[in-house]
Amino acid sequence: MKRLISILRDNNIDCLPNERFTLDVEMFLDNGEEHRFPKQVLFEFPELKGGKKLVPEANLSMFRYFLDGSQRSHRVIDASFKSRFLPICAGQIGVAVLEREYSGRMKPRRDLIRIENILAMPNVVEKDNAKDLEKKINNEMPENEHFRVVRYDYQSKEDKDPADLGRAMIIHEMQMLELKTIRDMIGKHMIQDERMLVKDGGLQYRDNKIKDLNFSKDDLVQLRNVIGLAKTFKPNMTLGQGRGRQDLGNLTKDLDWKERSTVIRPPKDKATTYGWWYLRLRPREKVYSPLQGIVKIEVFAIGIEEDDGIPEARADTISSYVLKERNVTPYNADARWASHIYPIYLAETYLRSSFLSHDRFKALIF
Amino acid sequence: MSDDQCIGKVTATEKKPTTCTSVNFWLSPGVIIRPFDIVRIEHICGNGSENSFSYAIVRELSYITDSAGHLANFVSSDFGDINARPINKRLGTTIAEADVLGNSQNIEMPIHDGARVEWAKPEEIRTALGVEKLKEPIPAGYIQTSNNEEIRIDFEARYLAGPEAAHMNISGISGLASKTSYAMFLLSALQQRMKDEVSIVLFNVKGPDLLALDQTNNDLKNVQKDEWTKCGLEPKPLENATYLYPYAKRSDRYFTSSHAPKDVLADQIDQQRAFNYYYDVDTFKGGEEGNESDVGRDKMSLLFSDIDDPQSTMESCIQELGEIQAETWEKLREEIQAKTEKGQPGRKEISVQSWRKFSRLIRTRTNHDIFSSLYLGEDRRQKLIVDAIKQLRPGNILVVDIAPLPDYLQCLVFGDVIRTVFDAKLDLYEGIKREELGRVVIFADELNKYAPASSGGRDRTLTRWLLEVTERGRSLGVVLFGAEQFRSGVHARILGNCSTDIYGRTNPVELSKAADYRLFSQSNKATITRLNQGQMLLQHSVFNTSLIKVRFPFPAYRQLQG
Repeated sequence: MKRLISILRDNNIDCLPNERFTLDVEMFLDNGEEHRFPKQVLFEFPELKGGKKLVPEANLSMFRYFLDGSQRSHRVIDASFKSRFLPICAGQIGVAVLEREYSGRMKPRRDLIRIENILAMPNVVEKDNAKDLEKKINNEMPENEHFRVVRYDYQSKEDKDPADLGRAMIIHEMQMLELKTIRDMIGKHMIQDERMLVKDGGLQYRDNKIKDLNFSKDDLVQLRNVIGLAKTFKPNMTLGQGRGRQDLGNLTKDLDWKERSTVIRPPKDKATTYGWWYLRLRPREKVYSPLQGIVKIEVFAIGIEEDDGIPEARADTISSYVLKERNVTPYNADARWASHIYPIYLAETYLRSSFLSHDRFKALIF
Repeated sequence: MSDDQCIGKVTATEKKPTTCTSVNFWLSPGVIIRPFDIVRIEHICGNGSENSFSYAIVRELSYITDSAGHLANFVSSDFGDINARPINKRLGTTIAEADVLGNSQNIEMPIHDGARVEWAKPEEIRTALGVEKLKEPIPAGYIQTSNNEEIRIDFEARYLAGPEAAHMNISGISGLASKTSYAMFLLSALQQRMKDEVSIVLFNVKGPDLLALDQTNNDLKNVQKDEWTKCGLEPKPLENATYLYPYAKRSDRYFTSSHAPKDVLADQIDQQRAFNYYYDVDTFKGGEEGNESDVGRDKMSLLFSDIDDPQSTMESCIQELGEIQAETWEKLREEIQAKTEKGQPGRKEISVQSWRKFSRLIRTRTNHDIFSSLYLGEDRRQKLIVDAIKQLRPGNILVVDIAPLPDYLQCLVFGDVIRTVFDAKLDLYEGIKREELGRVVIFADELNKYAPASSGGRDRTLTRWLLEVTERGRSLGVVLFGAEQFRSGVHARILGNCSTDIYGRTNPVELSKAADYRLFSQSNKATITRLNQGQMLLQHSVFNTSLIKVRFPFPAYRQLQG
């Protein structure tokens, strides 16, 4: 088997291995939140007085599927392209879906597991060249270890390191893979009112990702049964305007166990409207920080909800399902245990174990 | 191979790799398995064309989860709320640890990760255990697997009753271990399978337990009869038994002190199968005419088996006695009494005090009805043990009842029988040739009484004789089947000479005390403390594994209650 770096060299790309390879690995980057909008508005109908409420306990959970997307990306090669010297990034992206059977047992949906190797090259390489390179690379690689070559715009943000842009491209590919998986699940009628999907991380996909997927009208309705669950959020994000404005941390730290905040909306200039709120999963006195043990729940606003906001009952029901998922926990096994729900943790573990090891992936390249 | 046969897959990790002798596998949810089950595992093949199969016996089962610790589970219950009902089940699986028994192509390479694990078929189990192609199989019980198979387990006769190896030991606590029942089952198997080769001598040591072993057990249920069939045997009592009861001067009890019910005795007398043994003085005089052995006088020392005699004074007295002239017990006692007088001629090595003690003991210990002379009439059915042994033939059983006797007399009778059989096998007796006896299997319960664990001092006469039997008996055709409650109480060399060991239920104290249990795995130790009645762990020379857990059938002979 020929190594990737040799194939690039054969194609007249002057490559230097990046010595930081082993140092620059950030495992399982959280998607994080990208709050570019400065202010938010309340988005719940009717308006929730006091801004928070105790969530009613549920005996069951309608969550049936649990989706996690992960990526491992590295700046692998610094290459000389005519007058430019730019990084090439490589990574593995993947999506795993677990299904909870009626017995309570979690089972991976093998038909929905996708893992890909991505090579992100600067767009100094032309589209055709990139395609050609992809073909040449894959001719030399075993079938299950093929690469998909994507191009990143190394000039899109002047203040950013091109390597970050390359890796951001890989993250983008992972998010697309997540969305495609969700679209496929909806297309197969897997997601329904009583068979909801919980996705790890937020639903705030940048750009026009959802639009690009061309959901049909019927399918779009099913997005109401897709829930985003984020473990992290920015406490210093400001909500509201004027005198009443509050930083998010202020609002959430006052949440008591099993309480949720009111629903919050993003600006309306987005392709799909969604709302989110916060729920405390663990007793405040049992965690070391008042912000620990709080999850962010995101839902799509469908139809009339786009204007009126998310109904209180819907937010309550979904919150009670999430609350029901709080046990068992990956306590001591995952630092984020307090805001984790176990099925997502399992999906993440499963996906992680399906990736090539760090050394194995490195061996594909060097 | 279809997927429905697969019950799990092999797991080999950095910390717990598979080896030539052990393998771990996870179990498919819903599969129920237990220690001692035997599985077959797909393995590589020597010629590269097909798979071979390795066979493994389950040693231990454990359930693991991804929980980082007990505290994580506590936290997962809302920090200790016992009413919390988690909707998510923690990821977990049962891991089975198994010992590799062998491979269909004799491949000894460690089994690979991910190899399929299936239930082994009955014939594969027999092959894997090493009991499939025996020359002369003797049924030893049957195993029940978790997938509802019942498979017969056999001993190899050559390794159970000689000449390749011999002797068997059964241990286990009273009441639950069914030691006697198992021994009787095995003797029945020997009688049914080796009628022309094996004769049996056994001792009844408590109540009337073994005094009707040739009578049918009418209470035997069909299920219990089926168990005999599963072992390849007929559910029938032992045959051709002759009973030797201790003689007593009691005309109302057929001249015996035995605890046997009168109707049983009457039947046996009618069939001329019951006799009363006694000891005349001649028994202690020496070997038969023309035989220079001092064995007769040695037997006298059996009377003192329970006396602590570190200086061997009693034995010295017996040797010093010289040739006994007395014809009756009374004369013998007088002869010994005379030695206690001062001013005796001859060597003075033994003090008068020692002679007095010896005389006192002889007087009290021979003060029993079995020390008698032959009564002239025949109604007392008196018989010397040596004569009964001379009449023993393959297919026959001699039951010696020692239950009513005090300990020291039990030792005397037991030692006498052992010695006489051994000497007969050495052709030391007239009127009997060694071949005529066949292989003699002697079963004795409470072996710890006759061959106690060595205390570091000199072994007493009976222990020495038993050691001789277990060390030389294999080639001569004298086989000892011993039983006791605690193995730790029996002489180590005697246990060491046994090629077959049967373990019944025992207690944790004994497990820590007896050296033999130390090498048992934790799960085997746990198993042995909770074996049910009718279950035993077997260890036998030809088995490919150290222990096999079997069931055996309920006795098919009449159960007399004490």
